[in-house]
Amino acid sequence: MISVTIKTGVLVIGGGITGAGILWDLALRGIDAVLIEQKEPAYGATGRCHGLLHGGCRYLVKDSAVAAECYRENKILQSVAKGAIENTGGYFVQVKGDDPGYVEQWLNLAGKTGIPVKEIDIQTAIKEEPLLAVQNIERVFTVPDAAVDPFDLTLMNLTGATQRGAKVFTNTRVEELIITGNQIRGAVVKDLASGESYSIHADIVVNAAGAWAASIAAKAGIRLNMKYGKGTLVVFAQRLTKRVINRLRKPGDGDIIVPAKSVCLLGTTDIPVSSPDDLDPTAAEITKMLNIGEEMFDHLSEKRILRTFAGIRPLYTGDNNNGEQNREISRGFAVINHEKDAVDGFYSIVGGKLTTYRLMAEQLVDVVAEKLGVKNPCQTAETVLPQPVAGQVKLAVEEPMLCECEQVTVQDLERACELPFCRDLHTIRKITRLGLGPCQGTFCIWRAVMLLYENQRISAAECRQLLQEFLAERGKGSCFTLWGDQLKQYELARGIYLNNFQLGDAADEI
Amino acid sequence: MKYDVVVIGAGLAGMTAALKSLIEGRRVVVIAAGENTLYYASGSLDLYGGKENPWAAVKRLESERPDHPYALIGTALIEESFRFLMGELETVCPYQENSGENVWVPTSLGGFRPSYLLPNGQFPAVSLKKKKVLVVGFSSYRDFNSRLVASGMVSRGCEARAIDLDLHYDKINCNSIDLAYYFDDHWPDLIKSLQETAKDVDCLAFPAVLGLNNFLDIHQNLQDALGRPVIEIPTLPPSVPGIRLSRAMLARIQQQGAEVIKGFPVISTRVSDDICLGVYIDTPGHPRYVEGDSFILATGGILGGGIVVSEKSVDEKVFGVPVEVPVNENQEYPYARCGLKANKRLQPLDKDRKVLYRNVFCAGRILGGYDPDLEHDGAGAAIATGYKAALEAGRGDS
Repeated sequence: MISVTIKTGVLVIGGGITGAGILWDLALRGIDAVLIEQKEPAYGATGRCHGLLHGGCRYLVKDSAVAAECYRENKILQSVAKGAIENTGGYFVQVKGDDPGYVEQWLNLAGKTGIPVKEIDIQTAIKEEPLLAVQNIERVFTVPDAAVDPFDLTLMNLTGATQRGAKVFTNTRVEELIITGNQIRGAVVKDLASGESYSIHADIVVNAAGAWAASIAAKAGIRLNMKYGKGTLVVFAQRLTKRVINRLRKPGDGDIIVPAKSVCLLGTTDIPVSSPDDLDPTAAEITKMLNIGEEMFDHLSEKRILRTFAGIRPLYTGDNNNGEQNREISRGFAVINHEKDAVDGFYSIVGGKLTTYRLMAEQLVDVVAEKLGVKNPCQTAETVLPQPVAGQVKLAVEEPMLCECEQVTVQDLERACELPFCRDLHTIRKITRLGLGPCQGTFCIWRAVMLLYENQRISAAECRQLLQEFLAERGKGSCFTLWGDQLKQYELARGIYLNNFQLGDAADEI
Repeated sequence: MKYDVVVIGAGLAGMTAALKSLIEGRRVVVIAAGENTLYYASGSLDLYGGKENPWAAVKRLESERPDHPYALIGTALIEESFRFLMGELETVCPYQENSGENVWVPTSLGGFRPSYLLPNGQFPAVSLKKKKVLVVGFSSYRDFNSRLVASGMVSRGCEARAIDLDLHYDKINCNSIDLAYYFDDHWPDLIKSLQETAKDVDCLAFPAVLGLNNFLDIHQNLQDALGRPVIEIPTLPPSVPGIRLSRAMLARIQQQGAEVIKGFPVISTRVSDDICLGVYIDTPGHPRYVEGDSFILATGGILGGGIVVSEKSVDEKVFGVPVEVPVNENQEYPYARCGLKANKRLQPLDKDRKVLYRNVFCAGRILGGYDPDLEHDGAGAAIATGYKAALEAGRGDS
């Protein structure tokens, strides 16, 4: 039974950075909007990428217009989204055997595009980044790359939007789109936590479902040509480099390392897959990346690995669907007005990348605003986003600590729980970084669950269920890199939960 | 100086082996790289988990699972090893059994787990059914939630309720060890706070933090003063009952005259054909050489550090004995049953099932063929193989 009806101006489908950016833009222009997300914020490609705020250099040779776009957006985000960004700077490193012709072409295009690139001598580079394999390095250039926390960035957009009246419903899936005649009217959605369905009536529906955009469009009988590239990343237990380090060659596997808060990420692969839900890394991908990484960094595969994960790059192939390799398809984006498919008021936004999400949102909302007759211009390039909830380093003596690895306090968790869209442990993890450190949640997830129970946010049965889910998820993340100290850590967690706490089958118990 | 028995590793297996060797009159040295994994364990000693009678399970394993450590030892000797350890611990850290049956011990998650030998603090769990229980938590101790534990007991037929005490304890972040040291001095406060409330219940349950140095007296005094059984529920590590056991065993070993070298790992060995002559310890300045007639290898599994897994290989650290990684029906964890292969004398075997070193005997988690985390048999295997290794070491290499 469909009981409740919500009315809004714009319904945004998808709680990745694109959807969140759109919601923020809509809110700033005073357009009433609701966002729904099937899982938690940044569940898809947003939360499964490097967290690299491109200076543009990676795309110079392939598409210098995209490169210039990245550089412009990079500068804008550095001023409006400071809380999510660490301005690490970056190196591009030419390794022995890399094509010198590519380097010349790259340098030339950097000059033309105006992206500041500067060569530095190898000794300086090694001094700054001692892990670089000195015997293999030919040339090093500084570039304006930075590290961005995609969780924080998404949450800041959502928080900003909700502060201005937008609504966010997570764990909520689209059941069907409501279309009368040629006009979209909204969607019937299902709250996956309660199992209840209800309808959201809207004048405009924006499909920002990322890798799942094609299945949303299909609900309106529209075919979106998408390709899916799986990218696997390896998370190391510490920051191995101070800055983003890229391999200076035609983009390939395992050629970027990005510091991210207390860890760093090596990536990535690009393997065509048929479904956006194919999120499993393979052992072969990880070995391959570590081997390639070793060409640029000494002793890389001896470093402690926390986990591996994979994300899906959803790439829009337009109307033609030739057999291009995924990396060759444009990293640009497209705003599709489905009026051409005889559904008025329905828009899809596909493709793009984290660095240009703001621009994507701006262009989409420009179209939507015009349709709604709203004259307010885009303000996202000038309006500073709210600060992330957690993130400042605290001293353990000041506040009671939940997670020693990532210095998450009891208050951090409580503040996160107060956010309107925070409904599960995954979201809490993304807001606070709880459980993302070396112990991978062995101790802090327990404490978090105890606290959630104490505050009556979850039941006793949910305590057990959350811990089980969490352990299964950690198992998935560790299963391809079970060695060294992290394996000991895994065995410790397994011992605590399966042995001491009997977290297997509850039916085993008296 | 030459020892009769060199025990490498000071966990439950190594310390059981050392104790037995000492009682047999051997000259013993125990070499330990660091602390043991009892710090993570519940402190109760499992034999075999599940609803089946654990001794029936042991018998069954003997025939069904020839690779299981129990199958190498045999039921009679396992029983003997348990009696031996209970006797040795009687005065320092007493353990009790429930007439050959498992006891279902409450967990911090509000469930129950099966265990076999229980320390005094956990033994009252044996008669918990249908009792009125007061679960006591401490407001500054976030690893233990009294309401969750009480709700678990209620769903299993107890009449439990929860209470949290404010400790006037000035540390913002405290763990189980902090509290245990606190209660070494401040346990009488508990009597004051609980005397009235306790009158309405049949027994009281606390997180297992009631003292580290003075725990036996504290438990006894609380039971006497409150007039009711007091249960300690194992917590998130560090495990206070595990540390008590570890310290009690170590003290007992030293009392019996063993030399204990703690903090330095064995880095290499001296062997002649299939005989080990001595081991080198990574002591400061220069490595120290320790000579012996027999060697007991009880360095632990992956968590304990006896087995080291790298990206490319799985190695036993001291002697380089090949490690078996059985193809595992349990896909969740490929190393669940990994470990060394040994014969019935616990001598390590090479890939062709030939004895590698005649005077080396393996004990504890370094042995393969079992998964203590799922089977609840880690303590039993450690005690039984430690005991057996000591017997074999005493017989020499003949």
